[in-house]
Amino acid sequence: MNDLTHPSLDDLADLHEGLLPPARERSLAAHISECDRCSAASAALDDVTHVLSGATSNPPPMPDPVAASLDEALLRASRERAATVPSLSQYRASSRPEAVSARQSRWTWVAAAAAVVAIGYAGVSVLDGSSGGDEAATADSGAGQDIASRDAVRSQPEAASGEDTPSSDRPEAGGLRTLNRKTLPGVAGRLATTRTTEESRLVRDCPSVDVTDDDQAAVVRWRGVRALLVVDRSTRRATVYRCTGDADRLFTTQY
Amino acid sequence: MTRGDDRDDLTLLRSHVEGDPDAFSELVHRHRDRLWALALRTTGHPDDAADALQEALISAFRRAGTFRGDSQVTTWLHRIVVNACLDRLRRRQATATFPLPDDDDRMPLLAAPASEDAAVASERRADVLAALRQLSDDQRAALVLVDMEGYSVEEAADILGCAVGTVKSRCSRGRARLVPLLTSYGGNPAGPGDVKPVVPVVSPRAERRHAADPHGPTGGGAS
Repeated sequence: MNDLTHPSLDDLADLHEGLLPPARERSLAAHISECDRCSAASAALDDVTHVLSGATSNPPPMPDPVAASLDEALLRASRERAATVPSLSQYRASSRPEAVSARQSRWTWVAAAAAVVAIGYAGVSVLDGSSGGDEAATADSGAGQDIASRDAVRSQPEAASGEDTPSSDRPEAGGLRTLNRKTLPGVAGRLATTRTTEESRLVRDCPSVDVTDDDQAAVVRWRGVRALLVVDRSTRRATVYRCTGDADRLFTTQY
Repeated sequence: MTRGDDRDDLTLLRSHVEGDPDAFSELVHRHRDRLWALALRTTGHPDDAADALQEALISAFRRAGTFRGDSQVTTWLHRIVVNACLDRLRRRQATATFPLPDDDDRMPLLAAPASEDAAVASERRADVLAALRQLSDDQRAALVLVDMEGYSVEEAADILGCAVGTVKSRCSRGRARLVPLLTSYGGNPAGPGDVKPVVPVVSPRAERRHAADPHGPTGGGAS
């Protein structure tokens, strides 16, 4: 390629992207302004960007089989996680409480779980430093359990002697009901109409808590932490808030 | 599974980290068509796209706690998906000796279009997809992010983990290769021999479009 002939498409594209040295840029621009063919080629490069961006306005829907397979994989991952966490929390009683924040310890747990998976799959190609096979998430590991048990203990020292039985809604030693998907309808249906001091304070002082006088509110234990359950019985809507800090909403669901 | 959830993406992701069993699924459901499109364009093949996307989203499910909140949740998801796609293509190249089939991606794309407009749109998508497949994986990923997803070159460089100049260069060369495939400008201004002739899009529609253009392909030669 030399200046006596037309520039290549690569040169023109580089010009568009600002990749050429200034002197070359000037000579090419001068050439294009006088050359219909190169002017058309230059416009065609813009057309490419136009065609590509236009193709995004109407994205192809995910095919149903792909969506179904994805939903199934995510459901499996979710179940594996749910099955893993309670079994780990049984180790609370033998663990030492440690002064770490909820978020830190949760991240520690995730990092530990990732490490467990990585160890289990050493030598296997893993995606971007993260987990490999599905079944690895349920792998029992002393290290993972220890970390998770500390996680479960840290905000619950008063309930550390209680056993976390996921399928039971009986009040524990600390008087807190354990909330999970199975126990939610039972717990929600039997909440007392009166509120304890803590419940009243949370309802009154935390603007993030969306509750009316008709709603029931109770402190429960959800995944090892104290949480405020707010139930609107008329719509069978249950919302769970964190008991600490600004009482962030954790989730809302129908029961 | 909750649908019509009014929580924003970040709240959903944090709820997932806190243990909400449905939050991540809701997040994926909200963005899944766009994520699918991204995976399909980046890999150029529906089977690879489906596998890479699933792999990426399970990975995102498990490492959600590492999300630092310094970008949009969608950008974070896109980063994981694009890199899973590229990872998959690299693994495929390391093991496969057969070239990718050209046309089988049209089956799911063209399956039972809801209307004539939908049929035209899906055929146009197939043209774009077929053209993108003529690029190198790196060029394709850069162009998908910058020209299709609308990321800046700086953001694309961050997502792909390479220098800004590298992204610019890949975009530039990718666009040059796509000119004869996606526009009516069929030739190369520098004439034959300067660049290798590119295989035309194997799409009757694209050929019809070129033939029907009154200005026509200008053809090659500056001889």
